[in-house]
This record gives sequence, structure tokens and C-alpha cells, in this order.
Amino acid sequence: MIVAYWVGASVVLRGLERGLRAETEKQLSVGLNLLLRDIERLGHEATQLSSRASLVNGLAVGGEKLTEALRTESRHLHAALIQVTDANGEIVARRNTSSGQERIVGMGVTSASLAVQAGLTYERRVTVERLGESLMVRATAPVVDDNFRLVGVVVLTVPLDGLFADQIKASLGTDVLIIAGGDASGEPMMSLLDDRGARLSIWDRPVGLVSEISQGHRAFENRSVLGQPYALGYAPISDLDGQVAGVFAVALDRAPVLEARENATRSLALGAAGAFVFALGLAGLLSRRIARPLQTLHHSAIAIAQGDLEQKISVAEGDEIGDLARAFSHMTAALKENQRRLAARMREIVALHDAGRAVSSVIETDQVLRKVVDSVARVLHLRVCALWLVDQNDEGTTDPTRLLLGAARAKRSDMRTIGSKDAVAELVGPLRSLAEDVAASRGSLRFEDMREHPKHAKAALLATIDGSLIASVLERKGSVVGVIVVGRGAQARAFSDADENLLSTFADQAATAIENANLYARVRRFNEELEAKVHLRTIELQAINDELGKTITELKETQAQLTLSERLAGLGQLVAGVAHEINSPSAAIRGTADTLADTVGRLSTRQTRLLEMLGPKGAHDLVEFISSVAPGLSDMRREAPVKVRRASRQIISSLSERSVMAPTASAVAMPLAELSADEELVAHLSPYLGGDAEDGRFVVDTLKDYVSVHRSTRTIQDAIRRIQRIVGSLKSYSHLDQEAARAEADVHEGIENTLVILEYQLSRGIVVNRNYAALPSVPIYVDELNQVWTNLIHNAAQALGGHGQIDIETLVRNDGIAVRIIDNGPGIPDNVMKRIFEPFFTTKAKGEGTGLGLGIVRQIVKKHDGDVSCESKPGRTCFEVWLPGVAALGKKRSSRSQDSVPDPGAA
Amino acid sequence: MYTAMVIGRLFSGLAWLLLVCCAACGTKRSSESESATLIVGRAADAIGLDPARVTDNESVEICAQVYEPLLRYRSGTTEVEAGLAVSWTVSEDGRQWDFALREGVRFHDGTPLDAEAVVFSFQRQLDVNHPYHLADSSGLDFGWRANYKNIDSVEATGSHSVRITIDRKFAPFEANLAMFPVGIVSPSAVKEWGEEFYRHPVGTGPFAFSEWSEGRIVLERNPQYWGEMPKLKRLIFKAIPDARQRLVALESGAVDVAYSILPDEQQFVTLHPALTLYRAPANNVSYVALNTEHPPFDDVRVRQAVNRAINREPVVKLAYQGMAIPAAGPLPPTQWGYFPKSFNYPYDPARARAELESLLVEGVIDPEHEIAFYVPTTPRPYLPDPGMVARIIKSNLEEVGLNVRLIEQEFSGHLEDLRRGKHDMSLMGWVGDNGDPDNYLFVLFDKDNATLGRARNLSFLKDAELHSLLLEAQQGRERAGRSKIYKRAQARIGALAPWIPLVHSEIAVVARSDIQGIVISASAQVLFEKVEPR
Repeated sequence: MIVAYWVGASVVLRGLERGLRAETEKQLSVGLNLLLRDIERLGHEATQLSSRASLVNGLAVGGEKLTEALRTESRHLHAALIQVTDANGEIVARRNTSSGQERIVGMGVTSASLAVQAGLTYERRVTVERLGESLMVRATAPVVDDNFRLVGVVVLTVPLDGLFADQIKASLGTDVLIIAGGDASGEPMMSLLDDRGARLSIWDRPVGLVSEISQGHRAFENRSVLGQPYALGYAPISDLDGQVAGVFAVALDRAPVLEARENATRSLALGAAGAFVFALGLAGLLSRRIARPLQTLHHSAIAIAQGDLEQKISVAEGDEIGDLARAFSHMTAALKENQRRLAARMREIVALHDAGRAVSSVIETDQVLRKVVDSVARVLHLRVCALWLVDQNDEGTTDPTRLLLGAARAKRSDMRTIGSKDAVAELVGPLRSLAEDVAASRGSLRFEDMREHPKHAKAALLATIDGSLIASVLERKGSVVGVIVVGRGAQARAFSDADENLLSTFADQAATAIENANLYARVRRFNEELEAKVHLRTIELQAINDELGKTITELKETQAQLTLSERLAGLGQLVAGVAHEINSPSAAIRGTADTLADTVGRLSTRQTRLLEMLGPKGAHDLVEFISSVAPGLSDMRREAPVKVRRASRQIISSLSERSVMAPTASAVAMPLAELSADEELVAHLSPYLGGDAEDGRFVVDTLKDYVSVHRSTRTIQDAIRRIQRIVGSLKSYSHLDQEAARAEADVHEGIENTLVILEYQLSRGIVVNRNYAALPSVPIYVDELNQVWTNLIHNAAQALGGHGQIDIETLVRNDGIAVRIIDNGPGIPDNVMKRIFEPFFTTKAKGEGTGLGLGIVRQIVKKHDGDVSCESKPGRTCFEVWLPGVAALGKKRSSRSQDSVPDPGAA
Repeated sequence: MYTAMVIGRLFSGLAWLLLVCCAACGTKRSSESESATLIVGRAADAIGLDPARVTDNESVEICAQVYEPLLRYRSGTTEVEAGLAVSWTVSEDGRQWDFALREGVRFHDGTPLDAEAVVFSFQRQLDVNHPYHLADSSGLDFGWRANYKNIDSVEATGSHSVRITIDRKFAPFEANLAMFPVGIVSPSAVKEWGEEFYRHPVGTGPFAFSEWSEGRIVLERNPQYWGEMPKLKRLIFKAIPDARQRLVALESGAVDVAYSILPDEQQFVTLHPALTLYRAPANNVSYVALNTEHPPFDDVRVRQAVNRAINREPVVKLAYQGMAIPAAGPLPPTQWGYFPKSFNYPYDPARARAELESLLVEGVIDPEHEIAFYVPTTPRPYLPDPGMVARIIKSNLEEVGLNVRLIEQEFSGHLEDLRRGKHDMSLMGWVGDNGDPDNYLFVLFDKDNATLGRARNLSFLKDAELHSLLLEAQQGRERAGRSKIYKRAQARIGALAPWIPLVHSEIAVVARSDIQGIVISASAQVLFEKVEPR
């Protein structure tokens, strides 16, 4: 039994303590959050103040203007002290706000303070720092002018003192302590009051917990303050660098718990002791007496455990069971109270959340306003709630004295909500003047009993507010956007600090919501206007577009014509060249044909004389022989005169050996030598040279004529071949015989054809070197590409001015082929280089060309998906044309749209 | 009578006991699994979870957990190490890359990872005729796929060996293979789901996809994971678009980690004992490009002088609200190959003014000329408030005697004009893709990228010496050697001063303080495999 007692007792006690501990932890978290929100708000206020134009101007002018600006702009700030420095960090203005008058003396910063120094490097920051015995929150913001030049720094300071603790208590509902220093060595700042209602100022350091707190952990203890038991939770307050700057604590009243615990302990102790002495047998005897209340108690306990706090225990006995039942009732009451508070806070949170949602899902101003008013009325249990908006014209300027009713809600005396909108509007109408007063003064008004209000009592009564009232301005970015007025009946509880606090939170939310809704409405209006404008512009653009389309078509036609004329110009050059080329062989033919006629005429007369000389057989044999050797002799080169003379001497001696007479031999030796006759020919001919010198000469002349006929034929054949070649090149150059389709072809062939055609332009002073690689066939438009080679080689030749060297190189590169046309001319000057590929650009004299040469080159190469580039320096100018092969072409095609896709990197 | 009371007490004691026990049982916190779950609050939901198709950060983050590429970045760095490939060799000419795949790895659906799967994953992206090529992300220009244009072929050379051939020697290719778009996907899952694969991702990564509905994506630990087993059992990503709501969710414990907290809230977070703020560089740079083909910036002395004229302090503190570090060159300090002394022009407006005045006397600067400063109006991740940055720079330049005219337009028009070289100077930025210095230096400074119309080298710097250094580095094999070349390249760039580098921005991640092991990678993502359960 004793064991049971100990187990029971410890479980009960631990359960109670755990519940209290959990509550303490929760309060500590919420309290700390409130503290942080206040700190954060100070940061925002500093930023806002620093961006005020009047302050920037004030800093520029200084003196009275600055003081005035500071006074106007700081009216609504929560800071206790505001300081402003110039660009050098010297403090040039300061202002204590009304709420800070009783606060710590000497809490300001100096120019050397870190807060000021941070501001001078443009930094915005909020710090918690220790100053003497207390903690300060400081917010710094740089002040910059329109050009972002630093003109000063603002520093806002709030001491974490008793007043600050009171504010947190008002929201939290639990007493609060703030102690400076991670070791809690500073002076404690508390919301706790002593018996006489004065602020408590003495607090024993929680020595045992200090090391834990200073390491950043939370700590808990129970202690008695002025005879009252408290449960305390401590949490560290850290600065930006993570160092513990002080301690924040909440103090929860433990008295109700202690009472419950005492009761429970007593019950358990006596129960255990009693049970030890008396056997269960006695229980049977008395069961009727005990069983019923116990059963009730048991049921209630279970019901409570299941969450039914409405359970009342009606055990009448004045014994311990009765005590227990009372303790039970206490406990349920306490639980109920806690639950009620929790529910109230939950409602607030839900309402705030709703309002927040309304803000983020803003659509219509009306809807938002109604939502805000509904939420406020529900949470604060109001009889009347009305929200006025400051009239805002289209330019966005406002007049705070002109208010429009935004939304309102009111209840009848029987607490039923009035449904008609008009009725509500009429009811709250009289409150407008009060609202306007509040808007004009930018302050808030809280009055416990409106019946006693000196000015607005009547208006309030008309609006059925005969109890307390709060009117609060809705502010957004420093300007008043509206006023919210809430009121309760005389029977209802007067508004508390917490209510006012809650309302101001709502007001903030509502202000944001309204601003968003207004912005939305304006955006929508602008949007509509914009759409109309866009529509108009679209029509205009359509017209312009049509115009442009026409222009583009015209331009295209013009370009086509220009391209044609350039090509015609090229053709003109070409024809000139071709004419020249054909001229010389045809001249040759004409000249040769004349001699040929003479020779043939002569040969026919020779025939008769030969018959006379040699008889039919001899003449026939001779002609046969001559015909057989003449073609061979016609191929022989003409020898130099020295050689000819030497050969003629040899022929003389050779003929003498074959018993030809000396005068005859002398007469024929020279012409034979000129024909490059060899020993064998001489030997064959000697039998016909038996006559005199004249006969001998006749025979040889006949041979000579035969050779001459062959020579002339050969010359004519050559000339004709040459003409054929030119005509052939011309044909394949212009591809008159092919469809203009892209086909795999040998690039070298095209280059060679071009060279043939340009031959006369490549004067004798120009050497063309070919350095060809083994190239694969690539898909090209042959005729167009020939134009490229013509233009490039022609340009090179012109650059050389008659003397120099053109190298034509081909190579395989990057899945394609490259052709380089290099000249060793003077090079292209830099200023020309930038523009060479521009259409119409030329350095040629007027009339020499239209200037489309390289423009066309680029256009054609582009059509091949290739590249043309140029590098030039004196002595070496290289044009390189790259043409893709089949594989590269496939790849390139698929990546055509490359530039229209934003890069992942830059995007 | 007394006895009765005593017995009553006994029973009441028992009743108390009962009550307390019940209460105790009811409130006892249970479930181990909760502590091994991490919930992440993000600003947006993912769009799709197919690595071949994603472009948004939210999707990339999930893909990085579900899929793995052949190679991967060593945790927290930009350096590459073995991933699904255990080893790899590169041929002498730098074109053939042979990978030996890890044996015994299976996809989350049980399909074995083999060479076929790897070839499938590449081909469905590269080959437009592949049966599982996706129409909506077709072509080599989709998203990041431009990085893989240089692949000639991908083929299986064995059951667990793969050969990738590229068009020329290119060392940064290694880094490209560690990027998420080439995460290996389960071929059987792709075949099963077809167009719907993006909602049913299957890879080999440390976490397997479990469910996705209404902005909530759940991933479960992959119990067969070959690498270091994650300590978390479950990862949940929740989309909470409103930044304030995200912070509230974090405070209340509804999420454990939240991204994109407003700069205004960061001090609150820093001071909050239950929350921890992690800041990490975001692998980017914002800069002013000086057009080296337009006067007066065609003279290097002018470019150097204006580099001394810019005060980065208000840029960092006002325009970026402190979430950035000043840049002294193109590469962020976290990038390997970073050279700290690239642009060595400390803020010195007096000197800048004097230099510019003497250049004015010399005739290099035309006093009548108004410098056209092109500025985007659209905020970018690396440029949250372009208008403010532009005005700060304008005022800085006017202070040293230059006339500047702002030309502001939305981003796509801005980009187009810059590529055409219309600007005298322009405000831009770059986000690193693959963790290789080449991705910054070659792309942004080489003459090959200065072609009008599609330039990324927006200063149109055409320096032969730099070009040869950058090409040499592309063809290097060893990181140490390449790193040395890149340092020389950065020194060269700094000397030529074609930019005014501004800042490298940072990202903020907030986590509850009881979550241990939060590490942010060089690509600005949380490394979930390192996170400890509570």
C-alpha cells in the first residue's frame, strides 16, 4: 500500500508539474516571439523613417527644418529615442518620444557607436545590446538621397525596461521579466507589482540556472515572490552574432496548482494509511454509503478525462470525499478557465489568420472590408464595429478629413445582428465626426464609458454605444488610410489593453488589405485602359505592318534586281574575257588557214613536176614516204640556229657518203636541218636527190610544204580545242545545262573553271599556286559558288595590280571543307575591313563595280550554311570560305532556332 | 465513519491515479518516424520531374534526389567525382570517353542499371527520332541541353560500359556529365508511363518518389541506395507561396526548413532562438559589361578608371539588402579555379576622376558623348533590383564626370539589344551551369562568343592571348594544370577590364535550430543526405 501511495503520489505530482511546465514553456515561446516582433518592428520603423523625403531634405538644410521634419515624421514611432546623424556620423538631431520620457537617461548612441558606424556603411540592422544595467534594442538605417549618396543615419532606441515588459504582458497575459547580461547580472526589469502596486525591482539571480541560459538553453524554476508561488521559465535573448545578451523570463502563478497538489497528496496519504489498517471487509459494510459518491466521482473523473469540463460533482458530504470533490471542481474550473483562454487565443489567431488570408487573396475592396469588420466584431464581442476609409482620388492623393464608410456591423440590444446594410449605415452614421477627429489627430481613442465623453457622447449613444469604445487609425506607409471604431454596450466589459492591442493588429492587417485591394482596383482599371490602348495600337500597327509588308516586298524586288545587275556586271566582265580568249585562237586559225591555202595550192603544182622528175613509180614512192614522215616532223621543235647549222654540216657529210653531189647536198642540207631531219630520214631521202641542186631543193621543199600543212592543221585543231574548252567552261560555269539544285560536287572543278575564265585577267605578272587537299564532295549550288570564286579571285587579282601571287588552298575542316584564297597584296585597311561584307560597299572607282561583290559572296555562302571570313595584313590577305559537309549540315539545321531560346544560364 | 472516509480517500486516490495515468498516456509523444521526416517549405511547387524536361528550381531540387548522373559533384563543391560510373577514361585525342558503370545498382522500380539504360537516357534526349523523345522539349536547344550538343554518339560497349564520343577535345565535358539533366532514368518506367513519366519519376538516387498532390511531394529513403545512406526516412516538399506564411509555418514547426525568406525578416530569424539562418553563395555574378568596341570604352584606361569609380557598398547593402558579397572578378569564390586578384581596382573616386580628366584632355573621351547604359527592368535571381543598382552606378559615374543615360526595358528586349552590341555599357548577370570555370570565362570573355547577334561576350572583348589560354584550358586534362591556366586567364581579364564586376548574390535558407547537419551545396541547394533526424 505504501508503495502504491508513493507511485500514485509521484505520478499525480509529476502530471501536475508537467502540465504547468508545458504551460510555462508555451508562454515563454509566445512571449519571446512577441519580443522579437517588437524588435523587428523597430527595424521597419527605422527603414521607414530613413526613407522620408522631408528627413532627407531636412538633413540637407539642417537646423530648424531638420528638427521639424523629425518631429513630424516620428510622431507614430514606438522608439523611445530617435537620433539622426549627418554623413560623417555626427549626431545632428535627436528626439525623445512621449512614451520614453520616464525611461533610462543616457541611452543614446554617440558617433563612435557600432550602430552609427554600421549605418555609415549603408547597413540596416537591429541589435540588442547591453548598456549599463539594462538592455537596449537599436535599429539603424542609412539615409540616402535620390542618387543613393549617403546623407546621414537614423538610430532608433527602445530600452527593454519595465514599460516594455508591461506591453508584452498586455499581449501575453503573464508576468514578464527582462534581465541584461547572459549571466543575468543586470538590473531586472519586470511587469510584476508589489503589494502597494509599485513596480517590483528586486530579484535574486537564478544562480543555478545561469550557466545553462548563457549557453543558449532554456531553464525553469519555481520560486516564491512576495509570498506568492511562481513557476518561471527563462530563455536567452541573443544578439545578431549569436551571443547571449540577456535573459527573458515569464512568471506563472503556481497557487492553483499547489492547492490541487496539496489536496491530492492528502487524499493519497490518508487513503494509503487507512487502507493499511482496515481490511477491505469493512468496505463491504459501508459500501452503500461510500459507493455512490465514489461512483459519481469516478464517472466524473472519467468524463473529465474525456474532456467534458461541464461535469459537476455534487457530493454533499463534508468529509474527505467532499473535499476531494471540491478539489475536483476546482481543477475542472481551472481547466475550463485555461480552455476558455486557449479558445479565445485560438479565435484571435484564427481571426488574424483569416484577415491575413483576406490580405493575401485580395480581390475586392468591399469583400476585404466586410471580412475585417466581421472578424473584429466576432473576436472582440462588439455591439458596433464600423470602418471608414479615407477618400482617395485617382491620382492617389488623399484628404484625411474626408471619410467614406467602408463596412460596418452592428447588433440590436438583444444582441442579434442587424442584417440590413442601410440600417447599419444609418446607425453608425453619427460616429463619422468622431472618426474624422481621430483621423485628423492620427491618434487612437479609447474611452471606458462613452456616456461621459465630453464631445461625442451623443453620437455614441445614437449609435447604441453606451459602454466603452475604441477608435483606431489604419495606417499604411505612414499615411492614414482609414479609421476603425468599435464599441460595446454598457453591460459588456470595458475594453482592455489586450483588446486594444488586438484591434491595432487588425488595423494593421486591414490597412495592408485595403491598400492591396486599392492597388488591385487601380491595376485593373489601368489594365482595362491599357487593353483599350493596345487594341487601338494594334489596329494602327496592323496598318503600319501592311505598309511595311509592301515596303519589304518592294525592297526584295529591288534587291533581286540589284543582285541580277551585279550578276550581269559579272557576266559582262566574263563576256569580255571570253571574247578575248576566243579572239586569239580564231586569229590563229585565220592566219594559218591563209598559209594553208597557199601551201595546198603549191603542192598540187609540185605533183606534175615530181612526175616529170621521177617517173610515176618514183613520184609515188616519194610522196608516200613524205606523207609518212611529215606528221612526225610537224611535231618537232624548231632548233636554235647554231644547232641547225651543225646539223646541216652533218647532213652534208651524210649525203656525200651516199654519193649525192656536193652542190645538191649543200642546197638541201639547211632546209632539212631546219626540219630536224635525222640520219634515217636523210638515208631514205637520198635516192631522190640524184639530180642537180634545183631538183634536190624541189624535193625537200615538197617535204617542207607537207610538214607545213600538218603544222597548220595542228594549229587549227589546237585553236578549236581551245575555243571548245572556253565554251565548255562557260557552260559549266553558268550551269546553263543543269537545274539549280544543291548537289554533291567537286569544289576543285568549279575553281578550275573559274581560273580558266579569268585567265586573261590574271596577267602574266600573277602566279597562281594551287595547294589542293583531297576533298570529299560536298552539297553545293555549283553555279552560285562559281560566282564566289570569281569574285574572290577577281578581287585578289585587282588587289595585286598586275604583279604578285595568289595561293588557292583547300582543306578538310570541321565536318566540312574550307577554301582559302590568299594574295600577297598590300592588305585591306582596318576601316575598310569592318565594312567589306556590306552590300554596296566598294573601294573601286565609280563604274568599276556596284560594290555587291563580297555582299553576294556572303549571301551565297550563307545559303550554303557556311561561313566566310577575312584576315588581312600587308602582304597577306586571306579570304576563307567554309562549307559544311553532309554531316555538319544535318547538325546545323537542327540547331537553327538556337538564338530564339533564352539561355538557361542567363535566364 | 472515519473508516469510511479513509476508505473513500483510498479510492479517490486510486481514481486520481487512474486519471493521471490516462492523461499521461494520452499526451505521450510517440512515433519515431516523425523525427526522421524533414518537411521543406518552398515558394512554388515543382512543374515536372523528368530530368530531360525540367527548367525550374523546384523541379530540379526533387530530380537531384531521385536521379543520379554518371558523375556527380563532390558534396558541397564544384569538383566532379564518380557517380553511377565508378571510373572513366578519356582517349588521347580527348574525344572518346569510356565509363565503367557501378555494378549491382537498381532503379527504384527494380530495373537493373546497365549500359542500355544509360544509352536510353541519353538517346531519348539527343535523338529526335527516338521513340521516347519528348515533343515538348525537342531539340538540342531545350533548357540545358545545349551543353550536350557536342556529343557525337553514346553507345554501349559492354553490359556495364558506355562510350560517349564528342566532337573535339573539351575538358569541361566532365562537369557537364555531373549535371542533373543527364540523370539516368529507368527505361522501363519511361516506357510504362510515356508522356506521364514526369509525374512518376524513377531513378537510382538516395530518395525514391512516393507521392505528389496539391503542392506536396513526398520522397522516401531508397533502402537499396548504393552510396551513403541518408539518415532521413522521408522528405516532404510543400509549396507555400506567401513568404510570411512560410515563416509562420516554420515558427510553428509545420515545416522544418524554408526557402526564400524575405530579406526584411532575416534579422528576426537571426534573433529567433528556435530558428537558424544559413546563407550560401548562389553561384552567380552580376556585372556591368563595357562595350570594348564603342568609345570611350574602347580604351582600356577608361575601363580601368570606371572600375575604380563604383562603390559596391550601397549596391550590396541597399539593392541586395546585404544578401551578396562584392565581386572582384567573374568567378564566385566557391568556384574552383577562383583567382582573388582578378580585378584589382579598389574604390577610389578621386583617382578615377583624375584619370578620366586626363583622358578627356587627351581626347580619348568625348565630353559631349552620353554613355548609353542598358538596364533590364525585370528582376533576376542575381539582380533583385536592377533599377536601383543602375541608379547607384549612374550616380557613381556622374560623380567622376561621365554623362550616363539609362535605357531601361524588359529582359528579353534587353538581352536582344545587348547581343547586337547596341550598348555602350549594360547591366547583366550570369548563373554558373556546370561548375566549371570554362562556363564563366570562355562563355563570357572569349572572342568566339562575341559574334554580333548571338554574343554572350557582351563586352565584345577579342583578345588573342586570352583566346589561346581559354582553348588551352579546354583541352587540359588535369584540374591543377587547368586551374593554373584559368588563373592566368583571370589575371588577363582583370588587366583588360572589360567589365565592372558587381556582386555575387547569396541565398538564405532558414531551418529550425533542432535540425542538425544542414549543408548547402555549391549550386545553392540543401544536401538532404547530410541532414540528421531529430
